[in-house]
Amino acid sequence: MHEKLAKALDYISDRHIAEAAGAKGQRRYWLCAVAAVLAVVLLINLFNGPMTVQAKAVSIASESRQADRDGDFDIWYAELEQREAATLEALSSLSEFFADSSARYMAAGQAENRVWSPVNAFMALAALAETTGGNSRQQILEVLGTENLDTLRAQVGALWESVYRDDGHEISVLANSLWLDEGLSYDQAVMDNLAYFDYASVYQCDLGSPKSVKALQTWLNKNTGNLLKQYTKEAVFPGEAVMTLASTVYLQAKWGSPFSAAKNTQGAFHAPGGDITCTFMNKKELQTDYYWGDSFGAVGLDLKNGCTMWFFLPDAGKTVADVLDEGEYLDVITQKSENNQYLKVNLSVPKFDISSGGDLKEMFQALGVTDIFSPETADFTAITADTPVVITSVNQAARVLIDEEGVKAASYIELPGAGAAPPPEETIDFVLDRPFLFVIEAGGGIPLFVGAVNQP
Amino acid sequence: MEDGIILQMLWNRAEQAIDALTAKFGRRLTATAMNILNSRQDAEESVNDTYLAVWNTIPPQRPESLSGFVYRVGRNQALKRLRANTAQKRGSSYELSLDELAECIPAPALDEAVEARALGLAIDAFLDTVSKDSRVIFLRRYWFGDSVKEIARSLGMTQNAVSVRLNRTRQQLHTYLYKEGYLDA
Repeated sequence: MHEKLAKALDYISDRHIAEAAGAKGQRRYWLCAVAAVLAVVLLINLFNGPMTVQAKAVSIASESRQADRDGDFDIWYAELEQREAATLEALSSLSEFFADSSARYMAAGQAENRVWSPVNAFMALAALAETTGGNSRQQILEVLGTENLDTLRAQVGALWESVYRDDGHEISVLANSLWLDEGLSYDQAVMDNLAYFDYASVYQCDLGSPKSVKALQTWLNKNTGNLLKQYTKEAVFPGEAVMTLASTVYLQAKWGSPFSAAKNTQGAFHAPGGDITCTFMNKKELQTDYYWGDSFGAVGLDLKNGCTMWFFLPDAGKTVADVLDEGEYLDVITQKSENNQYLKVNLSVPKFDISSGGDLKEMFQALGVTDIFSPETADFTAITADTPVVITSVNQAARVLIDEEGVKAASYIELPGAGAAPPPEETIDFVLDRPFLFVIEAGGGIPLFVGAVNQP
Repeated sequence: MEDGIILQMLWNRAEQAIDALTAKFGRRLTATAMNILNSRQDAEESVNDTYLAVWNTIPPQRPESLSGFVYRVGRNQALKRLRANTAQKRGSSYELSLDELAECIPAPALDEAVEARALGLAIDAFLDTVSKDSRVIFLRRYWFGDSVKEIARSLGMTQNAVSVRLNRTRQQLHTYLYKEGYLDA
């Protein structure tokens, strides 16, 4: 036994011991409150001639393979550590894809609100790699910086399991589904691989029927917490589709330490098109690590599910695009940055509810994934050898909203600490009153969402 | 029953004080002793020793926080029994939790040259710099020896969330001790 450590712990003060012994769990209905709700959906439509066969579930997505948390603690903890190591390894090769794709996506609309999920794009491309062959697959692997399909599968597993949380209240779930038109022949082994390695469910139905469209929309709404109805109501299987891949990520989490609505203020946000008035949520003298890079300052706020929401404020004369291009922000979310100082921060964050959507096809092509979009070069022989298939569009929609509502009631664990330690001497104001970048980071530095707020 | 009333009963040498201690602190004391000793019989005996030790100590002592005092006595009784029980080998959840905590303590802080008191006070000061929930979870795990599962159940959190929070707090503690001068090689 660590005798010295056991003795050292005897010097923990009584007030801390009493506090820990007396802490009670929060009431369940408090947990229903939502401070941050985020969702994204990627739809990739693949087209060819219509077919007709009986609808059926071809394969059902694998459930989480995390070790049983109600079982042996040591086994569960060992699995957790192993997964964290695998995630770190995966991120080392995927970081370039995450940085490059995010910069390209954000650059497309610099005066608008933009939000997307790099992880979701990765999951969709990974599933496509499973269904393609030849150069079509090779291009995807190269864009992802991944050596081969086995490595990619390991990366998907590590990231999927690292992101996955669902206790009915704190939720972050990635989901994939592949929809095959009736009559399309397929390789069952590939479908099983999709279910196991990509956590994808595969369905076969008449893609031209309203019933099938309804099924797709229901699946999308279910997996995005009904947040994207304005986009999903327009999700259909286009006339010539033989396959559609739908990939979603849904996150719902409370702030680790909530904002107080009583401290909200009205103020001007200096948007590209002129000042607009919005509601700012405020925290006075938040004691936290403040980060900086060549073109930004940054602060991270913990969410209760283990994620962190990072706010990057470009320096004067710099833009969100500059921050994205330089890529230094990724060092902050992966905890590699040494530019940080423990400070008291007066934080002001505008409440916002932003969404954006569009076709990612051009971005994927610019990154180097081109063959799957051309009838002459698309190779989907891994999934079906009988029917030529080509991708015509990659539809994406995402929404992020943050507020302070509901969390005020969840006060048991958010009470401010006694604070006997000397506070940091320096205080800074961190006011997000001009266009800024945010990143929702799943534990371990996984960029679950990246967004630019230009008009909160 | 209010802590002040129990304290007064102890000072008045009223035997009902033991019943009051049992009612108020027994469950937590037994759980902590179980975590440390991994044996129900040993735990029950340790908790009985705790009541006796509290009875013999108050008076003359008059602790500001009765609960903190009682839990501290309980933990020390259990640790004393663990050390005395030579048949007891590794395997108690408390020992495992200490192993887990030790991994984030910079090696120099565990050297013989550094007094346990100095390290303990540094950890205590660190706990004032983190949020209440992080502090509670940290102490439940490393002071009381509760399992992640038990912490999650009692605080209404997922085990994953508890584990992540513990991991972050350990990293913060490591950084804090590093800044305090306990430099790793």
